[in-house]
Amino acid sequence: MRPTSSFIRRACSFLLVGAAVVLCSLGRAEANPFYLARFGGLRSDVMMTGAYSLYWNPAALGRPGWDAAFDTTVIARQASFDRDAVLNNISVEKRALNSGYAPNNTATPVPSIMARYGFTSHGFDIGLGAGLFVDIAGSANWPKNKNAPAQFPGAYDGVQRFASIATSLTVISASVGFGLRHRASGLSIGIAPILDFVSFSTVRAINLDGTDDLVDNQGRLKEGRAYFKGKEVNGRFILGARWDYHTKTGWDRYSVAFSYQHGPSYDVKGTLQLALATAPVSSANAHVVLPIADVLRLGASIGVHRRLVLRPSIEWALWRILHQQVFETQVDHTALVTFPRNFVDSIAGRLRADVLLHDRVELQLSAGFERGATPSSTMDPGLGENHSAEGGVGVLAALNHRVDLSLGCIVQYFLPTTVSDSIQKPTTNGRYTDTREFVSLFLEVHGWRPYPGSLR
Amino acid sequence: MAPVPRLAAIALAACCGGLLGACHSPSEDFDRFLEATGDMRSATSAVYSSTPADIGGNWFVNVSLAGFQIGLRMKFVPAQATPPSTMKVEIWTSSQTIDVDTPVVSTTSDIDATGRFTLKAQPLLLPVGSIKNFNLAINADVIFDCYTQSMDEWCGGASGKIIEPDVGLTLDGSTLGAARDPNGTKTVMDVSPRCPASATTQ
Repeated sequence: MRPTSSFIRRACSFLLVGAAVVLCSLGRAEANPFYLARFGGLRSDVMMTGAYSLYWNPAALGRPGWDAAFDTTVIARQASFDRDAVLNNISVEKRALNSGYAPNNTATPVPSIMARYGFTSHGFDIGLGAGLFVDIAGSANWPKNKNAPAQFPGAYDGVQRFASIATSLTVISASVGFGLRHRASGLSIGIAPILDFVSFSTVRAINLDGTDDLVDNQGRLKEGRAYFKGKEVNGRFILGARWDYHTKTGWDRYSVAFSYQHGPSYDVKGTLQLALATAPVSSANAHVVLPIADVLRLGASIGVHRRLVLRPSIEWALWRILHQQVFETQVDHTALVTFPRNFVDSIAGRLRADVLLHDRVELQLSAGFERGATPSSTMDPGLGENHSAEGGVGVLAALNHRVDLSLGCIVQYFLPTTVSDSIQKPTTNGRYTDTREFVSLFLEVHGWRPYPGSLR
Repeated sequence: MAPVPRLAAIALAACCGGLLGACHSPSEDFDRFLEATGDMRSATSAVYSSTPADIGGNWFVNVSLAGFQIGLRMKFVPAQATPPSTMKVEIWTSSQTIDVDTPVVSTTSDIDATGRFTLKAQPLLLPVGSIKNFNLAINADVIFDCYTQSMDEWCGGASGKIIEPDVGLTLDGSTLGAARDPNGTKTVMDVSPRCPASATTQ
């Protein structure tokens, strides 16, 4: 059998097994943060080329040749919330059960797979791509207070329980994209429609009068629970544009790129179960609207030296659309439970560098800062994020002319903050810490191409 | 095995292994809470002792519904002072004034010879603000099962369901207590929302 046929067979095996991994895993892909697209490691920005440009900028799909890639990003989180007894006006008798320190440490792999094929025709490069991925997800499962006394069964779920006990949001996305490049000018455009399968469930402690009371003034159970589970299917799209400028020398190449990612409003329909005080458990058809921010990305790739490419980028997520989260009845849209959010836009700036260490090995470096979307007054341990700084390092190695392997790690450090102006009911004043690590293993299989060093 | 499929197989094992450890459904926490509070959530209605007495006049009633304490004002006008009797009943919210505002419920009730009576508030319309920190109007069908303790006190249980907002919430297991309030000055802080332990017979 000819080597090329053998390679194609192995590439097909890669795609099949990769797709199987993604399919078997996506239903369980849970991780914080709420918005987690990091696949591709340190190449995860609007300048991405190859198969994963389907997501980061479909304009780069319009290239001749083919790529298939599989990414597994392990997302680890170490967060904590210290609910302050004084700042939350917690009475002395409730302090032991409603204030104090709650840590949350998780680690979850999130797989994805994408492929691309392109060809040249009449002065244009035309490309198609397809993929299966999770870019929006969030989960939290706070540790239990195993020392909680039996007469206060609600306290078992921790001091943060009135904001979050456990949440699972998973959006499994499938996309087919198209890219077109005008060869003479270097201008590219692309579009990637996305179909989202949303699954959302959450449970939290609740008293409809907004207090954190465990019992009423007669000593009977007052603390209750609200549990919602629902699903939704929705669509969105990504638009991209890119301009590549190459000089004759080859290494001093410049590119700029822009993408717009439409954020849908997921209208998740399901069942809301309420266990309020001593009343029998009730169940009602309910829905909650989860608006997702539009995201604008702008970036550039600047070849400053044969061995060094710089990639500055900014990412602007329009989270201003998230004023509040409301659980409503499906029949008459009566608001049952409302959580204020009052989010603002988040803006992130990053500078990444690709340093050629060897013809087949590239070192990747990243540094950045993001202004968080959550104002202090609506911060809570379930959804809130403060401003963050991040740094990353990675390595790309060309195993041969057809297979590249990248390993990258990005650490996102959220600035610790103490909230004292909470408007949540009950209040969520206290100290928040959060650190996340994104460790990405990115395997790319593609048609024959020169080693990175030969391209420069 | 070829190198690429072998890598994918390793990834498959790693993913599925990792995910097994990460599985946790919020429903598990909800179910655990229901199990832990099952005994406290008993919806069986208690039966109380009752004694005949003249209960004509103005009352403040504290109703404990699903963790809420709802204050109501009631005016009883019995046809005769000693039970059994029929009485005219009018109900106001705690923020209203008896004989000044329009009652939210006007009905009649029969008091039996033991002083026991039933009040049907169908519907009971509670405007926004009737419940502290709760910004929804409530429309409920409520049946108060009442037991006279003395000419200054009655109490009992409540059943029925919330019609709006439609969350399927039943009121079984709710309780109430009432104290005579001729001046309309009492609040939920002044009246226990249930019968005294000494009144329980079952």
